[in-house]
Amino acid sequence: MDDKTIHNNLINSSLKDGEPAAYKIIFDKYYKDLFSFINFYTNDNNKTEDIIQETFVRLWDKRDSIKQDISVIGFLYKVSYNIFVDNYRKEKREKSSLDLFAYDRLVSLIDEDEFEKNRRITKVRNAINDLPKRCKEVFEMSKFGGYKYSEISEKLNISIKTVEAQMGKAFSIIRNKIK
Amino acid sequence: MNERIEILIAKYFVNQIADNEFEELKEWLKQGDNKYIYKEYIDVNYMVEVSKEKMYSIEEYKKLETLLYSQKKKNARLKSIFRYAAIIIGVSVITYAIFNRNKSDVCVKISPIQNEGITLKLGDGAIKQIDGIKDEKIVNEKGNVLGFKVGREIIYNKSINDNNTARLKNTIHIPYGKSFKLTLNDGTQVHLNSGSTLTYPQFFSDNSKREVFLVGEAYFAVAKDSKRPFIVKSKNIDIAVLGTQFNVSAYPDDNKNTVVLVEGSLEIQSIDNTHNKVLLKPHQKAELDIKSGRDIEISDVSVSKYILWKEGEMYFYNEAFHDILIKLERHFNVEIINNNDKLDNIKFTARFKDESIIDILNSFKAHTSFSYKVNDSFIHIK
Repeated sequence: MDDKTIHNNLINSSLKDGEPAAYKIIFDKYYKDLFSFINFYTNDNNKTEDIIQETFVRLWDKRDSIKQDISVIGFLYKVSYNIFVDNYRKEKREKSSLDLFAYDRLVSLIDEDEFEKNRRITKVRNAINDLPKRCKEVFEMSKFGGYKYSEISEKLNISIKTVEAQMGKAFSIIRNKIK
Repeated sequence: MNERIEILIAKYFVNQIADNEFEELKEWLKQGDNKYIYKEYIDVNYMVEVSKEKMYSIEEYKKLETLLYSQKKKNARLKSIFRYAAIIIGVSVITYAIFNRNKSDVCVKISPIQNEGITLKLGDGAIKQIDGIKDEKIVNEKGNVLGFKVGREIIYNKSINDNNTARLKNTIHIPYGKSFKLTLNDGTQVHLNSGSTLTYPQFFSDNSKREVFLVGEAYFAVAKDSKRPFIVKSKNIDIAVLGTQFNVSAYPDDNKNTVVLVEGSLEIQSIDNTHNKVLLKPHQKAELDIKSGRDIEISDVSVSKYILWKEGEMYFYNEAFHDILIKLERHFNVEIINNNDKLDNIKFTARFKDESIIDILNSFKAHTSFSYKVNDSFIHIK
């Protein structure tokens, strides 16, 4: 049994006992991971925060039924994903291959080691920095500022078509640089 | 790649996609190797999210605490939670994948052959060990910084002050059981598979061909430069490109050399017979049977399975057990001795990721009948 599993078991059993400290540890430990995971789908900080609130309420309510050996983050991902789909996707999209495929990939990325993750973060940051000026501006407004395409179009005085094209280009450039 | 699809993926990621566009993207995902491309986009969007450094605020936790401990609100909350209960069933398949990750411990212990690590030979002939987790500068004999080693990758600097050393060549060797990545100074990316060696100039000069020499297997994503064609030379074939992505497998102990093209176009020429020249289109495979010396054969393939090794996966499609064993030896750095000749020509289709060599042998065993014994780094099959 590795350290990680021992640690998880300890926290899981404390959580079961209704120990608030264990709950807080879990919140501290997984908040950022969960935020990145859900914001991947929403691209909206407020929606993401709401979903995370719901998820943690559910973790507290379900703490009795959490098994010793399961990963808490796995539970959190599953529940938050369900909340997202239920509230922000239309019915026919529920089982969308796009969402599910991304889900599988994101879950597999939980296990990626810190060093590899940091290396990739540096690469992504460099790639964003190196984007052509207008492209970078549009990309940052959308991904970091949370602006809608229509708002970007208005603020920068460019057409929505241009915003769309710049965004497509930005993702494509970054993809080519980090793969 | 299709510009329309790029636009749609971006719209999907920032939640700006219309229903009809969503359907269009779903259709696209079903075709060919698009899942592979989509996966790379997923990684990008996720890494952008991760790179945001959003820290949780104390306020967030306080809000949650208030919510939990105030009974009134909790009940109101609970109602909304029950709405979600039904959906859980819908994703039960996924759950299975998450919660069954812990593999049962295998009691057989196997140790990889202890041999040399990854080595880099610099222009002056000095040999550097570049194993280990340490990140470091790669410096030549004159003290010029050629590039950086970060994790399992070397990234060469784009420019150098000293033109005299530019022509000198570096050679990287990857032993069995390891893989490595290079970003050459023109921006070309090379993933090297285990048991491979690549020789390349420290810096490509401005006005001549970009030439590298490969023994083994590598995936190339060549930086576009129409003035300087990129040429991959190997013992039996030369591959000339302008800017493209492809996989080359040219191991000395394999009977066949293969080249698989992902994007762009390629010209492949057999060394022995200069008339034996072919043009390869995306999603095609060129295969040269070294022993027979026949013409290069071209066939249409699904490229992703030829490049899964980049992600640490092993994929065998209708492959003879004999050939599979060779690949397992390279991947795990072990020696497998097969005393059961009947197995050699049995063909298998299989895909593995993260499994140990023991897990893999057991799954082959389950489909045929053989036994094996493990002795340090040696595996005897009977």
